[in-house]
Amino acid sequence: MSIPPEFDSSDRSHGSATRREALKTLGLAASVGVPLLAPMIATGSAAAQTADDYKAIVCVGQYGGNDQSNSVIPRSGAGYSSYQSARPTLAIPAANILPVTPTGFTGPELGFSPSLPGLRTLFEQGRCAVLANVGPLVEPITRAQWQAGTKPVPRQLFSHSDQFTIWESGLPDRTSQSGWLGRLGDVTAGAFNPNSQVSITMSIAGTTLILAGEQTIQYQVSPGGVVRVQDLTSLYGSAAGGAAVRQLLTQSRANLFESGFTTICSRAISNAGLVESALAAQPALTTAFPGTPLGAQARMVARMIGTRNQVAQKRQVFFISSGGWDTHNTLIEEHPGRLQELDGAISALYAATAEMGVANNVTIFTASEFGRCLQHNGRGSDHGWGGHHFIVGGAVQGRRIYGSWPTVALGGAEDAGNGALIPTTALDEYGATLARWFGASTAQQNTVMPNLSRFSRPNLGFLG
Amino acid sequence: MASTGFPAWIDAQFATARPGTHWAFPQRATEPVFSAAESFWTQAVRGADQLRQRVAFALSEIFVVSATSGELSVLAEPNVAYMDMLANNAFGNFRTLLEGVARAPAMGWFLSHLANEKEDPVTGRIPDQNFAREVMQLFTIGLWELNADGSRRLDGGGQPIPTYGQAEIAGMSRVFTGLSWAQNWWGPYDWNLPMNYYPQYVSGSEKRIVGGVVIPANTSGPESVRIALDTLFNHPNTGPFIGEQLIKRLVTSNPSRAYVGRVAAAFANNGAGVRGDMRALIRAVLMDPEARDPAKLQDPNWGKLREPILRISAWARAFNAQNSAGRLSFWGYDDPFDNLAQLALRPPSVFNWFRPDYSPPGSIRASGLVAPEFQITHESSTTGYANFVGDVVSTGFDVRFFHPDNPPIVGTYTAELALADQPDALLDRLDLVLMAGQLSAGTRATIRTAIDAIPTTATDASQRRVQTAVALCMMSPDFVVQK
Repeated sequence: MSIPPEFDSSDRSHGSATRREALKTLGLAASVGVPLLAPMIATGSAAAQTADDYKAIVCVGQYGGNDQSNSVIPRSGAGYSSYQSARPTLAIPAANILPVTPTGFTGPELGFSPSLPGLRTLFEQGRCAVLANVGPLVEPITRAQWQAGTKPVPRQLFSHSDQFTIWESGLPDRTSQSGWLGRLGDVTAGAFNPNSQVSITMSIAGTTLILAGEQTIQYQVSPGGVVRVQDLTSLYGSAAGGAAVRQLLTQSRANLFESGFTTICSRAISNAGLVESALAAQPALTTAFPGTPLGAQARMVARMIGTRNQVAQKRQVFFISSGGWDTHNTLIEEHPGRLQELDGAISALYAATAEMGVANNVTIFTASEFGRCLQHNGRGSDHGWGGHHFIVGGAVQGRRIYGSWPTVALGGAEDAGNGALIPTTALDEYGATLARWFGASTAQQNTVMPNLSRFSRPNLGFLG
Repeated sequence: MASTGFPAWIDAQFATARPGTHWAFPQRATEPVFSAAESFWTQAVRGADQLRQRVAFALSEIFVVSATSGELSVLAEPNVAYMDMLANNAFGNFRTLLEGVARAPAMGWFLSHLANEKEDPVTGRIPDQNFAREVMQLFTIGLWELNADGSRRLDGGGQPIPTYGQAEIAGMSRVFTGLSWAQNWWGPYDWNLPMNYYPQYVSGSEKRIVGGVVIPANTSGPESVRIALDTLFNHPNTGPFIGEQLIKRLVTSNPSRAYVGRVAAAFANNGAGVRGDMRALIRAVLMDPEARDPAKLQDPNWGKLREPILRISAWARAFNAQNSAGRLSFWGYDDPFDNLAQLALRPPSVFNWFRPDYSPPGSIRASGLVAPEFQITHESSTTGYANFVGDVVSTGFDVRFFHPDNPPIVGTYTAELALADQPDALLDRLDLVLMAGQLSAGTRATIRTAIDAIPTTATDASQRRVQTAVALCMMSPDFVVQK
């Protein structure tokens, strides 16, 4: 499940093994929708834009299922004791937990993992919020209803690929060809990016369902830059061969299917040139990014944000991801490193948005297919359900815990078994809150999250 | 084929044995899910039973299971067993095929009717509706009532008529209860055996299904499934619904209504009074006058985009591709930055990589046409394809990332290298082995110019001339679109 470390996409030479960045670790390949050729009619609140009305959303995927219990932790008293007794071999010593001081919070004293110093600082500065125990739900469900089996629950709970697919589709009770950020693109692109030739949704981490709309087709950039057709100027050392490649891929044809193919190839070549030029025109960022795979992806997000005017976009949706979160028996050894990678990448991306003067215009949030069981299995924890997530940005009403803080103890009110959390906040509410900030109207929120009406909070408040 | 004629070739193909089962693939036990993909490629590229291979692949895109879900993403067994089931039923009867689909553990796992318990009035639990819905929507009758030519029937108000509603889904979900592993409800996981019935978990309720059919209370599991599958098999939609999809998979994206009607008629009656004869259906799809009409080659609305898997298999067959160990361990070629957006065995959902009614914006949609394969044809996958071709023709398919011990899969160009100094003869050969005779004069001239630009005296001239010719053929719209 982990994403291999090689990320050097700049090596375009024939036959290079390093080209295959291998972001395919899960069966997430999905690609649907249609390109944004014709601007859509502006509708609803999305039409209300101003000259400096720029917004971006960045989804940070954590493939494998983040262990929420060792991420945000009760740090003192009975809360810590329950945590410690449920996972004695995994518990972080209380003295090492980084204290946080959420406002308006009546639960136990909390802290962050010692591997999250950057997010802790942002939290204390009011730039980071925690959404507690969020996950996919078909409809609200209590522990009693879960145990009795009287309420529908997401399909294939506790299965990696199925649950990440649900996090992407936002539809736990049916199959979907589109993802919720893609649908957010569907309802906002026409209003905000009417003249852009580049898709509103952009992945730095391979093809993802979450960015696929009913109309929106995600644009893909690698962490190293734009992927171009490599043989346009020279094929096997021959310029004439390169010219033939260009001619064959871009010529107009009488047959509609041939013409459709060459039209898309032409747009691919032209957009690669456009984006590459726009990237090259950006001043260098002084913000340093960690030399990790996620850091490289976050850096490319920052650079793409820098191109927003050249590519005529008032709205951008990005997806980046890291792997290695499936810590069944490696929690102690590997989870701190995964958190450090996350912490460093998000902190740097926030700093870069501040450097570019758009800190209040960019919201970063995390997603993972599930949380993990509180109960330990010796060296790790097993697949769970609900988890805690971070939202970072200048627009975030931070230093707060949103949602409902769960009982961190086995047999608690949210315990689905072994300390897996029955979510008390629905993914639908999480997504709808982000969509609302991004410019979606109430009706459009329901397009983005079709099951939203089953839940009570279309705005969780972390973005005002 | 030319010497025997197309109908005789089809008959000979019907009689050609499978090269063996996927279940017997040597590396099944040692190289889990990867070996299922390799077995697919090995049979698709090398099988003498090319028609069966092609039809089985088409069926896998209608009766979809995906190696992205749970055990299917890990194990070879569910995948190879399911591929065997499709291949074994490709030339049989549709009713038998449908039974195979409904009782395959891989399908039971994927659409969650394996170990699906009857409803429980005490707790309010109801049976899982996943398979119940898709067996109607995707595998037999579709969402709307159809005429015999596949067009939608309309009610008095001019509106299409749904084939079923929530009540029928609920009824069908009770039909598919009580099915689980062959030997025991909880296993062992006998992926290669049809699911069995467990009476204690079978719903004894009355089941209302499509067409007003009512399965009486206390009907047994096997009898309920028999009635349900017979009902779907005999539904007037099934012939045109399945027939049109097979035309789209095998021949063209936009068949005329008359073509669909002729194919549906063959489904309804093979000439000997038998419904659902797959051989009659396939013969009707391939031998229809519309499919065989040379004038269609000039029709701008005719043809279909060749999906990436079929482009790769065309290359691999034309040039006997394999690695130095003689294997076809393709895996991981859907890297979106380089490659193709279509990884064998791993469609993103039960809706396949693309839907039969997908219509891309632009002139295709404006013309009222569909082009299913365009659903995975976008900036990334077209860029990936062009780069894939550039690499695979020169250095082969590098699988070391996924199979660190395996050398790359390379093509053999011996016959082509012998023609390197004769570009016209070289292009004639490529037109034959790769292009199905659809290399246009314009594309031929473009490629010829590129070949000629490499002097025969240049370093590695023969190799570069041949590689240039092959790569340009594969990048050309003439190859990418099947007409």
